[in-house]
Amino acid sequence: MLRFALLRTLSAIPTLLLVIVVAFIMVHAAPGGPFADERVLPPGTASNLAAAYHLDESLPHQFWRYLSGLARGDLGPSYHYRDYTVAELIGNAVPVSLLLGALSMVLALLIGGAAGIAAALRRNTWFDRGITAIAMTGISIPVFVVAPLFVLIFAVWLQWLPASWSGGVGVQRLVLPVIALALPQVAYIARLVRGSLIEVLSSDFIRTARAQGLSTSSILRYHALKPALMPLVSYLGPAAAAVLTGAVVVESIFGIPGLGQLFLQSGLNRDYTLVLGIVIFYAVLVILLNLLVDLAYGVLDPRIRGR
Amino acid sequence: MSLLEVSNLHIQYGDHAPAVVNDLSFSIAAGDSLGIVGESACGKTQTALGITGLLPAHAQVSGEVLFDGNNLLGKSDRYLNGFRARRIAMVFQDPKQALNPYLSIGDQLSRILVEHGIGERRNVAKRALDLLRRVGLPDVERQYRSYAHQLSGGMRQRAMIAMALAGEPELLIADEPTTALDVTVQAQILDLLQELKDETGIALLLITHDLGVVAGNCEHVLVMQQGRMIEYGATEVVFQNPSQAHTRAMLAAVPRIDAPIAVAPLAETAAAVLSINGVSVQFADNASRRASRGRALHAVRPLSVEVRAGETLAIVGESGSGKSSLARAVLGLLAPATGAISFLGSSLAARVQSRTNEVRRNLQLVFQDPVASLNPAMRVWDVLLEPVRLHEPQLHTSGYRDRVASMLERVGLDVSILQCYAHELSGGQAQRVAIARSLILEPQVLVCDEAVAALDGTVRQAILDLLRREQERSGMSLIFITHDLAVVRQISHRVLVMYMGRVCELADNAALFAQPRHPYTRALLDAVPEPGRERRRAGLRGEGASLLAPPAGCVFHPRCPLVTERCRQEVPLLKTQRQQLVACHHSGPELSN
Amino acid sequence: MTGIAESGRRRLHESRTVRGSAAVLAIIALAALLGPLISPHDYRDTNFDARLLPPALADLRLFGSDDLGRDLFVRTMSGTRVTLLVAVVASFVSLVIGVAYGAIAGYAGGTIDAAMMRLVDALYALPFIFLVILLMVAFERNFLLIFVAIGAINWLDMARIVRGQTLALKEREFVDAARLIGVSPGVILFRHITPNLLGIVVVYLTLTIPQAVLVESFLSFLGLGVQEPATSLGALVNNGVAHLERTPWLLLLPATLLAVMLLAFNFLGDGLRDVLDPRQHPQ
Repeated sequence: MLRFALLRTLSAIPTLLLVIVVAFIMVHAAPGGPFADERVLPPGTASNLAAAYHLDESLPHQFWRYLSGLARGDLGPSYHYRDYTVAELIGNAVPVSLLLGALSMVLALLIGGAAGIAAALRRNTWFDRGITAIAMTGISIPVFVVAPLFVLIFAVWLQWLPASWSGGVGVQRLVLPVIALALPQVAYIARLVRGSLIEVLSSDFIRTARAQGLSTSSILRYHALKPALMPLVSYLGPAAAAVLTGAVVVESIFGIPGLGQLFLQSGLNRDYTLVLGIVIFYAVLVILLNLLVDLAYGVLDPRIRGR
Repeated sequence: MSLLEVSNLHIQYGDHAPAVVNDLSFSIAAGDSLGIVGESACGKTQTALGITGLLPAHAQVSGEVLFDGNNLLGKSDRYLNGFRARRIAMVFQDPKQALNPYLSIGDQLSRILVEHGIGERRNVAKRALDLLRRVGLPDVERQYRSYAHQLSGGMRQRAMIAMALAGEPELLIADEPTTALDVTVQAQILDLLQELKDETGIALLLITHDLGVVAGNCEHVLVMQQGRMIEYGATEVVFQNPSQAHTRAMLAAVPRIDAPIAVAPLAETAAAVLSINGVSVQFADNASRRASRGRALHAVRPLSVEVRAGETLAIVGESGSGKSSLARAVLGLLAPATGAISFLGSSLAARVQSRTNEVRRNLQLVFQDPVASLNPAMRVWDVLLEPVRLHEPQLHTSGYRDRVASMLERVGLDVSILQCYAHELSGGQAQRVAIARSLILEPQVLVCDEAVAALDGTVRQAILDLLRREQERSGMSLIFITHDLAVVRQISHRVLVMYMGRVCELADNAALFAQPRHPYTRALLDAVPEPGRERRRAGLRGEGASLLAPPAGCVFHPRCPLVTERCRQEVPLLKTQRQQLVACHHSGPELSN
Repeated sequence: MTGIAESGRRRLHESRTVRGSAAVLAIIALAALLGPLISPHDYRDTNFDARLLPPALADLRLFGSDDLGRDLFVRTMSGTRVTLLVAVVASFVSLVIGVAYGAIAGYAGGTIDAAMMRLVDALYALPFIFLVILLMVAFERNFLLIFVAIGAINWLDMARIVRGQTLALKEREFVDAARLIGVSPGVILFRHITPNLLGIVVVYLTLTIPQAVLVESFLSFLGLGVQEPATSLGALVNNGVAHLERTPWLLLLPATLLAVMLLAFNFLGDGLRDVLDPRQHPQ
């Protein structure tokens, strides 16, 4: 098991390097330098700026400089927000995004999981069909449609909740963004859990447990739940990635000063170091999550654990 | 009064589908044993599930199932749970699927004890260990903590039986409990069931396709065909005096080790067609991630044998014996690690893709699973056309058609089948198509790898007859690979017995069955369940060891009843003993009794 | 025509999900094609006297008009055209790459397979959508780039599925039977393996299209997709959000159409999977 964990951890390193290389090349291959917007720069100033940001060096040189900085946690200075480093900007934006993402994931797991289990246990009843239809709708309506609809209904028409981050305080201003972000995940998880539990419930070992006279609740608790929830564990990685993506939209619609909005702004500002820094930050997050999921799988599945 | 009384049981799926169980009535007295026997899809398993209320929700069930005077049919799970485990227990066919892969054996067993409040709560673990000991599992503390995938097939089935015994039930329903197991292990499990019945007085309802299994283990027998009971009575009476044609056909189809040999003796002058010289097969062990990774798995140790023109060579062994690997090496589907194969005196390339068309057409194979061996996307016509078009492109369309039509006639199929896809065929039809595909090239050697193992008894007999007829017609040689010694009694000239990649014995058919010289051959013969023959108690302990860690000395020694110190250290060589080749330190006259 | 497809065709006719969702998609596609031809308005024409009109039958302004006085019905239909076109082409790109990559990896097996799948695993771990956004920002919202970017995301699933199927099919006995007869590897791959992949490829293609629709709309919503005056459903939704409070139909109408389209695609894919994917139908 330890060997498995070690090998799996090591195998994440080349993936990470690949992300850094691809992102770096993309940013540097982009037409137009970071200062192209600042109309007429005297030639001296331009070359000074280039020198200050090491843009006059060769690409491998710049990459090496960037990589060694990265190892020390230094993501370089921001081109746009000249008084800040990229690390500071990301550091400021992370807490609110993390709160938003974590709350949505917890909500999605709880509601989606419960709905999926309930639907599977009442298979082919009106309840099951209702959950299935709602879940399918939830998957099909994108976040950028759900979020504005929420604003329209709950903020504009009903006026229950604030339409933007700055328009409210505390829990109030979290409600709509968290739900909007969680909704597609709730739907996906409900479908996933329903399908997987139905499959497990029709397997031979559940028939054995029934023949052994175990009650329905015991069968669910001791025999069915764990194998049925295993696919959910492997979905956590993609789910996290989906929530990060959704956060870009939700943060910009609700005006939340999080990482998603920072990313979008940095893109529009052509703030390349910041863009690069955030992409790498996201990549590390996703790779780390996938790693955790794989390790969790190893712990939970006796067939992998035994190796 | 009967313990279980089933009256007019009727099971159906959908209003227009034919009933899977039709008007079935029988009873079992306390301590009695009843075998329900029939070919695939006759409704025997549905009956078992119907009794315990385990049928799927959409099954339409009627009739009456009285257990000790209580009607069980149509009752809720809550009501039935008062009977399950405590009064009626079940054992299923495939213990690998029937055990929860996520829970240890001990957890699953303890759960039953806790749920039904059997014994004191603090004694649950002790009781569970006792149960595991009771079913003959070695090292019970370890098995208690093990998961299903860590146990061998026989051990899994023992664990399953321990769980069935947890509630000290009055009736044990065993649905094909030994079908997924090796023959020698099957004998052990049947012994265990018999022993439990004798000691505890538990009643046994045994569901099986194998008449031999019923004969040795059940006082009464019920024969089913297409959902209906066609015969019911005391086992001996039914087997000696079957009243129905189908029962007679089923009985006649049971392979017997004392049947007359049905093939004509080989001419002295018959020349060798195929020579296998020192062929061995190894696999790199990439599947397991233990320290053993990268170590070679020796599927077949260096082995030499010749097949002569018109001869049928049977290769017999249980799972892991290397019989299929040997066949695949001969056919060029995998490359041997050492040795050479020659056909008509010329040495063959290791891989089939490097062999000439002439060689390829002469070495053909019939597979175990007939449906899987036919491409699901191709019609029978395309399946049969492909080899002809490839090897005899000079024939025109009408020539193709004639060849295919005459081939179909030889294997007993109608031309109307040409437009069918594989999944539209029955098992027997599919196997005939697969045989036709191999024979259409008129090969000189046909390898049959468990070619009848997946077929019902009566169909199996027809396929064996077909193969024998074709051999007489064309004079081809057959290599017949099987786990079931009795199957090859009628059709083979010589028999090669393998165990863990090594040859145990190679002998003429008559000599081998009359006087097996290797203890493993003897055990295989004893393990064959046959109606009308008293089954001997399993002579072998345990199961085959892992091929990754083969025992030192004779690979068979951990299971051998005759084991001595010499067997543990020295690998026995293959020696000639009165025209039989035997690899055993003991194979002197002392083995024949 | 595979055997599975053959037996599936009957179930296909019986599947209400498949027929219903296919009908909805056909209507949407037809409206997107014909709508702009029939309407008297053009999607580019601004009209400052007819800004933010509510939906009405008069003058055939079925969906009203936007903040520049352009007819919303015509814009929505032409946006649907763009969205569908991008999604279908991108899915086709991912189909070609995915099937070729997966089939080669699966059939080659061994080291080649291992190396090819390591690459796929690595790509899976990348937060692709962010790289795509990066790409869009860097390369000035090139229309062609959208196809490439979406195709680049979606081929991974297809490659994995096709590779898994090929690997399983290759080990099947009918392939051994063909090898023994002397059928060459190329013919085996083409005639024995590929037809058996058809069902599963069709299913995953129908499930890939809505994903591509989603990605395209997402990019357009962020303003990184198609550029004015051309439009797509995502861009229309974005524009609707800006006028949320006073004229909600600018959001509701294109958003509903997008949702209905995605729903129909998802139902179609699900229904087809039920009918065609043999793994969903254990005997």
